[in-house]
Amino acid sequence: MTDLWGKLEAAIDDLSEITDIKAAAVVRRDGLVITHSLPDSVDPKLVAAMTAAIVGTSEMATVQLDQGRFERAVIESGGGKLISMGAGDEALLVALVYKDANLGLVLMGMERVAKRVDGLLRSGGT
Amino acid sequence: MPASAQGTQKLLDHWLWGMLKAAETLGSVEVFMRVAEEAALKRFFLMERRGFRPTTDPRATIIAYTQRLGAEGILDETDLTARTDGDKVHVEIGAKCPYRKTCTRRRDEEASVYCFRARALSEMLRITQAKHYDWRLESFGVPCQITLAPSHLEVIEHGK
Repeated sequence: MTDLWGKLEAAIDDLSEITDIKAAAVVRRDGLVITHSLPDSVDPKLVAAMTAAIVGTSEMATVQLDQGRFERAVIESGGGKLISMGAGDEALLVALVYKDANLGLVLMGMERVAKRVDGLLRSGGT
Repeated sequence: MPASAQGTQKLLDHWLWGMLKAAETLGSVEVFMRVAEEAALKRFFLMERRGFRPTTDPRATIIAYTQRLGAEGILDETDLTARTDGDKVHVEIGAKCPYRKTCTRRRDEEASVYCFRARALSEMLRITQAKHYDWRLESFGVPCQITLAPSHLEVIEHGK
């Protein structure tokens, strides 16, 4: 794997160190996995495809409803939250978060890593 | 009245049109079409791939794959040419492409042309070359010109 991939993996590892984040992934907008820290019980390809679909549909919804630029999608369930956001033109960032997570801290961390991922992709990892 | 080849082509045209419209409405054209193509290809490889032997050469693999489709009567394999350009492959597809009517209608209605063939070739290369190829429709016409190039964004198929 390339140096770019190694740096993206490091970004995900850093994000996963935030206590309230169970797992995270960087995925392509066409639904393929770039790197992840998802548990073995989860199919990362499925998560990647669903994340891309969720973000794509959410972006369309915000445009159609004239609500301005899409920022993030938050899906709440009994077991926790799934948060996904753009990480530049090519990629998305998704995180599985505990139910009682400090969302402010989580979002700050995700936005920081999303910018980092975007920067890495633009520069090709150099 | 039994179904005819012409009738089946019409069914394909309308279905593709509907699928693309649905994907656009949901805001997920790339992911929807990629996942659909991946599922279709995996089924195709399971059921129809006899005689198709991909190599490590993407151009040769594209030709072999297209010939396999031609042998199944799915499309005219003589309608596609491909040439290598460094690590890219440039493909030209002529007038006999089964998707041409759908693409022409999209162009005529000033919607973006989504190349199903390029999508299929990209996904086919990802499966056979274990490497992701981005696709780009350089020009729509007779022939259509497509470029397939290795993506700078590597993907992983399974766990870390």
